[in-house]
Order: sequence, then structure tokens, then C-alpha cells
Amino acid sequence: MDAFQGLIYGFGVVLSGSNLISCFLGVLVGTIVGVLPGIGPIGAMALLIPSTYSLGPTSALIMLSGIFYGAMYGGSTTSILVNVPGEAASVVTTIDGYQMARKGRGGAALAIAAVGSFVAGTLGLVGLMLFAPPLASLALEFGPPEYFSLTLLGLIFLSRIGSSSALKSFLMVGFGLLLGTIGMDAISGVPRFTFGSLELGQGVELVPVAMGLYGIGEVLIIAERITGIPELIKVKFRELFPTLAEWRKAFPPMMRGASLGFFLGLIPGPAAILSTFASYALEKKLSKHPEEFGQGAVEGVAGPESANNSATAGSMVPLLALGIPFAPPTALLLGALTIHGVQPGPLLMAKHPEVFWGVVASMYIGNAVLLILNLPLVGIFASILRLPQHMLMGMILLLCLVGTYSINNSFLDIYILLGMGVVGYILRKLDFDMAPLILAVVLGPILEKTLRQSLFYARGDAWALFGRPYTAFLLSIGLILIILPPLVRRLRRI
Amino acid sequence: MPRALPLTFLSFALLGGAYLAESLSLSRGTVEQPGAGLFPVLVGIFILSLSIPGLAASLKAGEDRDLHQGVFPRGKDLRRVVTIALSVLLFTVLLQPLGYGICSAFLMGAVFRLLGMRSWGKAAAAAILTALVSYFFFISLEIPLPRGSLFS
Repeated sequence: MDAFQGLIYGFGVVLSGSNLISCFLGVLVGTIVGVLPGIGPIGAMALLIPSTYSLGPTSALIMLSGIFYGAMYGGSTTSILVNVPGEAASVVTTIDGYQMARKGRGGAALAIAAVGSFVAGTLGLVGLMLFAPPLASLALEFGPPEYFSLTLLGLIFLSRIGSSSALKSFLMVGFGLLLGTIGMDAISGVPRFTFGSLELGQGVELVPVAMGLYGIGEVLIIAERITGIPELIKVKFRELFPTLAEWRKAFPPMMRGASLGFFLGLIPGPAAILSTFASYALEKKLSKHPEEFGQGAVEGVAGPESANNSATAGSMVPLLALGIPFAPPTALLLGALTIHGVQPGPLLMAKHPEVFWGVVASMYIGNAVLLILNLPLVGIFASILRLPQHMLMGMILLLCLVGTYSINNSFLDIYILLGMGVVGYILRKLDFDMAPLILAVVLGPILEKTLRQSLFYARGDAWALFGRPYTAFLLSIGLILIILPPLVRRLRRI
Repeated sequence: MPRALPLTFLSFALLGGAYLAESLSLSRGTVEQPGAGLFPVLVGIFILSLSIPGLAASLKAGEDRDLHQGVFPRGKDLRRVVTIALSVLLFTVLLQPLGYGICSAFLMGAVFRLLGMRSWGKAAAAAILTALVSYFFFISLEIPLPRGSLFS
């Protein structure tokens, strides 16, 4: 079916059964976690994966992706009203959004952020519909060597552009790969690093690792300081209408942010975060009045808020078309789909069209719901910030513990959760980036399987492995990414 | 914690070394027919090849002392973090014998008291209420919560 037919079919899927409720719940939870500083979309998705077990794969993916893009909307609320970003992709919005609010234009900033998110999210979906099917067709030509190269490139890319040093990021990749090898070997059935434990034979689940790093780790970081309830700038409903001049200023940055965000979403890395910084820098460069940036420039809100939403749609392309996640949130989506017995990749559209088109259509509906949720109801969401810190942290802890236990009714999983929480706390304090670790836990088994299959097919012939055009191209990029940055640094010193 | 970064790299080096040693006991197979040990051996070498230079660099440059001084909390703040981590550990250990109800009430009581509630009485009341509400919430989601082996 073509894109239009697929979309119509997708709307039929979303509007039937529990999918519409899942979509609504997903974007609602996404908005709430976006508003709340401390728990981001990754933590929330990890927390809610166990609750999707009773749902079908389509409903589960609709709900979890709703949290992912919903958090991008919610994050702007606290950035603008409190000067506290709800999640990392809204950090840039604090610069001009909060200044707008201080000047009495908080309502306009919220409206521009919400409309920009809606426009960019919708345009990003058009991009997703246009890019994913041809990419999936191309990926049908891929064999194990191409998948191995692509997976390896994803890990190298993420380590290179992550927030910590390359050495620390690569070490996190190594640690993630190590965790991914624990358990029964999928090909030979040999138990590895299980020390006789039957429970460890099942392997280390993604959920306790992600919940530990992002949930327990975050609780421990927040526990360092007891903070009061932040002061909110109040916005009345009638103030939620930007002036014509503000709309005129906002529209071009929205379009540019949408394009930039989508294309950054296609490449490995924390695209939602990177796209906001890139969009802000671009708008400042293009502006005739760059001195207004930092003082409440409309463009400084419209561009980044559009970019992060479009990036979420972009980052769904490699997941749905290739079956390879390039960022932690999509890695969790892959984990959830695998739990439900659905393998994303080039055959997803043919084998499970209800999942692919259902998710795409749900994102259109979700974006519209988010626009409604985030404008008239902004006061309600902002008031969530009045929840005392101890209540919030207590609830996160219980959700982490029970959520982890509910996967396999396993006490070992809770120990893994706690262990990863402490490890995550220490590593995050020392500037280690957690994203490569999460991605490596998910991609490790794919990397190993494709490497072994490639070696088997090549029968020891290295040229058969690395001489294939796509493989050579992808591995060359990976090699350049490893060699070039230190080389450039050394040359600069000379 | 003035030596946190070298200690972290050292921990990874030890982990990588132990992992590599264990990997070598697995069959690596041949190039044409790779075994279960091949990939772990590569991962072990990868971890060691990063953690040892990282350890050397952090020790040599004294980077840790400059960059990570004051990163970890001290005094009361550190005690609060450690107590919460220990409370979660205690919850985990006691979950099987005592069940969800008692354990969650104790954990919530500790968290509420440590993170802001000044009165023990109010913290205990809020903890019991939270434990009850969460119990019925999780049960409604059909999550089989441990009831406690001591009581069954």
C-alpha cells in the first residue's frame, strides 16, 4: 500500500479498540514527565514498559511513543514558567522562554512552543512517511555484514557526539556490550557469565538497567539536595494568544526547526537535545537582531521547540525501517516491541502494517491532543510542580521497584535495578554519558549475532565481509569518526 | 572523594580483566564458525584497552582532583543519599519474607522523612496511606505482588 492508503489504514487501527486510549494515556504521561524535572521520557518509558504487557504490540508502541514525543511538549512549560527545564531537550527554551514570561509574554511563549511543536511534529511525520518506506526497501538488500556495520556505526556515532569524553562514552559502550552478553548464548545455547544462576540465564533485561540508571539514579541525585516548591509565573487563558508580529517572527524558525530536527533525528545520537541547540544557534545566526537572543526572542523559543518535536519523528525512521535504534528512547521502543514478539525492520511494514501505520497515525492524533492539552490546560500541568519532592521521589521508587519485579516476578531483577541505580549515580556524577550504555545493551546482541553470521557467511574471507559497498561505506564513516577528531586536535596543537 | 575517577577506571579495568578471563574459558570457535566466546573476548579486550589508558591518564593528569572535587555530596547530604540506597536494598531483601505492604510502608516512611517531612508521625501516616493506595493500584494492574513468605 502507498503512504496515503497506509495512513488511512493506520487511522482505522488507532480509532479501533484500546489504541486511542493508549495514545491519549501516552501523551498525557509524556506531558506530565516533560513538566516534572527529574524524570525524563527515557525513565518514564522504562517505568511503563511492564504495564504494556497486557496490551497488544500496537497499543504498547503507541503508548510508549506518545510518552516520547509528549515529553517534548511538556518540557517547555516549566522552562518558560519556572526557568527549570522539565527534560534535557527543553534546556534551550529556558533562555528566551523564561525571559518572555518575565516580560508578561509567558502565554505567548507557551502558545508558540505548543503550536511550533504541533507543526513540526506533523511535518516530521510527513517526513517519516516519506523516508521510512524507501529506506526499508533499501534495507531489504542488507545482509548481516551491512547490519553489523550499521549497528557498529550507530554506537560509534553516539559515543562521538555524546555529552562526555569519547573515552568515557566508549567505555560505557563496552560496559553495555558486557551486560548484553550475560545469559544464554542465542546461537549455541551455552550459558555465559551466569555463575550457575538459572535466572541470569535469561539475560539482563533492558528495563531494570534503564530504570536503575534513569529512575533510581535520578532519585539518588535529587536526594542530595532538599528543594522547596518552585515559584510559578501564572498565565491566564486570555494571555495565550501571541500577537500577529510574534506569529510572523515565529513561523520561519518553526519551519527551519522542523527540517533541521527531522534530519538530525535520522542520525545516531540524542537528536531531540542536539536539535534544540543547533536550531537556537541557526536562528541566532540568521537573525537581524541577534542581540535580542537571551532577552526574550520569539525565534529562540519557536525554533528549538519545533526542532525537538520533529527530531522525535526523525528518530523513529531508523527504528521502524531498519530495526536499529539510534537513541535511548527508540532503544526502549525496540525493547518493548521485542517483548511483544514484533521485530522492527524492513519487513515490519509488510508483516505488521497495523504496527507501523497505527503508530504513524497515532502520532498525528497525539500531536493534536497535545496541542489541546498543552494550551488550555497548561495551568493544571504547571501545578504538578507543586507536588512535594518527597512524594514524587517515593512514587518513582515504588514504580521502579514494582515495575521491575513485574517483568519476570524476579527478585534478581530488583537487585540489578538497585545495582544499576548506584552505578548510574556514581557514573553520572563523574560525567559518564548513560545513553551509549543503554544503546549498547540493546544493540550488543544484534552486533554479536550479525558479526557471527557475517563471519560464517564469509567463510573467513575478509574481502567478502568488508568489500561489500554498503559495508565498506558504513565502516569507512565509522573509521573516520574514530580517527578524525583526535587527528584534528593534534594538528591544531602543531 | 578525591580519587573517584581513577577508582572508577580501576573498577572497569578489574571488571574487564575478570570478564576477559571468564570469556577465555568459553569456546571461541574458528573464523568460519565463531563460538560463544569470540564476542565476549573482543568486548573484554575493548574494555581493558579503554579503562587502562583512562586510569593512567586520570592518575597522571591529576584531572580527578581538579574536575571532580566537590562532585559528590558530603556530610548530611551524603548520609541522605546512602540511607536512601540502603533503604531500597533493605526493601529488596525483606520483600520476599515480609511482603509488599510492610516493605513499601517502611520504604516510603524513610523516603518521606529523609526528603523533607519533618514529623515522624506525619511521615508514617503518609507512608502507610501511600503503601495502601499503591498496593490497590498495582493489584488493579494485575501485578502479582509478594505477600510475604512469613505470613503464608
